[in-house]
Amino acid sequence: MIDFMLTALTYVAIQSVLSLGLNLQWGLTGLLNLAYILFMATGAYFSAVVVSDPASPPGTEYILGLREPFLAGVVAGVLAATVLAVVVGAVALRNLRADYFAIVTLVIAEGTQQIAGQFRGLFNGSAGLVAIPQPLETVFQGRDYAVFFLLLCIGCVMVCFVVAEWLRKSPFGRALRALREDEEAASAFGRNPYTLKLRAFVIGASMAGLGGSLLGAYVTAFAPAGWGVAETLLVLVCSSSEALATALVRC
Amino acid sequence: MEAHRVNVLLHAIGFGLVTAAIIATSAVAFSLQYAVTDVPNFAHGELLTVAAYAAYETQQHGLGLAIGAAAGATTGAAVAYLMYRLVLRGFVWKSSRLVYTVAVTAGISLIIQNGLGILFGNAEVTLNLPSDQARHVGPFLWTQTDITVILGSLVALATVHLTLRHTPFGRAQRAVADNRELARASGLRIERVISLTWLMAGAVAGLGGVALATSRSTFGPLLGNSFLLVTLAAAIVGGVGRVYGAMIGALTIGLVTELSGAYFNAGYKQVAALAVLTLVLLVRPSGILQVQRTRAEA
Repeated sequence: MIDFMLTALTYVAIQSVLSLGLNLQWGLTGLLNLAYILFMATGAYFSAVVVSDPASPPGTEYILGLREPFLAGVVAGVLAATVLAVVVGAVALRNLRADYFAIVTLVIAEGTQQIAGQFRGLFNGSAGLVAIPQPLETVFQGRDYAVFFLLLCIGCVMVCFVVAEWLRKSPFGRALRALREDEEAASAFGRNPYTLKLRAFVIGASMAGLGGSLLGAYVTAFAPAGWGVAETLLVLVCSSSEALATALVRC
Repeated sequence: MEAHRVNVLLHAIGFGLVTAAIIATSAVAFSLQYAVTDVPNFAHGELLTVAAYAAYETQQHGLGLAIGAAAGATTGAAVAYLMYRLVLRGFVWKSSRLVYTVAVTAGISLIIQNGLGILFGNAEVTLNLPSDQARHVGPFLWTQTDITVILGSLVALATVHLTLRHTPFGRAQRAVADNRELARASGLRIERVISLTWLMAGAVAGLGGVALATSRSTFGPLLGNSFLLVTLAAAIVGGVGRVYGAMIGALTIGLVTELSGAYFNAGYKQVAALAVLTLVLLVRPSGILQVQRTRAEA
């Protein structure tokens, strides 16, 4: 029972990180990002290949394989998601219509998923990565490890929560809300919708990268099959309001 | 050597034109329906799938492919119409409607996929095609089926064009697409125009589905869903909601994917489609047929 609770709470914590990121994009800015899961996947994949040995277990193929510590993996995962978000955001946000953005991000998510599944050299194709090393797995054993991982995730949630709250209350957050409510009025007050949306998009995506890194390390496996649009919708449903507290409770 | 290279190129262009014809019917249906009804339909792929299964079912009863195509168009139209009347109509007027339409259409898509899985099984079914030899038509190498697909698609697109430009219904459709409130104020029966547009788009998508099924010959419940990516890519490249843009977008995406498949390998088709999409969005954010459209953000 305690083991089950620990597992469930860990998932809740990881899901919370993901929800906080999506909440920045959708709740605060009104960007319906159907490629959100792509940034989570990027985080999971990149942190995995940075911490893993090259080609382990035998027969799998992927890039890098640097054997770096967990922290470096997380940083790499978040960075990769952030860089990808700059590119995707710059492309998808050029047209400022909301429904256009949803359709474009859907196409990007589906397309990249198929690409990840087809090119085996990248992240072992559709079979995905398995046996991703976990942080400090030799130090803690059994239930201690579960508690450790849960605390690690809760720490990440708290960091993300503080950042998100701070952003929400900052002038930047106010500008985003103004943009969400009335884009023309916000532009009339000298705000640039494109750069504001792009910044919110990138910050949200880096949280997705963090959540993905944690998820990959916790489950110790990741494959393109777990990366459909259905998963994004799930996160969406979980975090469908601006209030951050409810975003946490609902998932 | 030189002649061989030209041949590879011409064959790839030939395949590209067939693919483009199928994408065009699908993308035009999507764009037409989206422009007039203002609902991005993520269950669009399933209209193609149900039509393909309708054609398969008629074939099981010993009927020809022409009747199969008619059955496909009818089924596509009926499903699209019911989708709107029974489900989507209730969500169109909600305040934050984008997320509802995304969630609801994605839900419909899952329901139809699994429903077809229950009815026909998840294993792939085979559409029997008349066996025919590829032959040279001008510079291209096409089978009889390819030619039928291209001609059928051209007829469907021409019908859409004539309806839009030269009938009172088409004028009403364009008016609703342009400015719904103004159209209503001018006394148009919006509700009727929208319902009929779902019917029309469903029929065109259905034809596309049958064409897609003949080009694949074996297919399963995910047929249309797997085609949604290129359909949407073509629609975006042409400018979402622009019917003529969708035709140009389909031609671009069809040719680029087949050419990349011929010169690299089939795995690069998606990469090529995404690359084209990215390029177009960077240069022309609203698609190739870029026209400034003033309209309140929903």
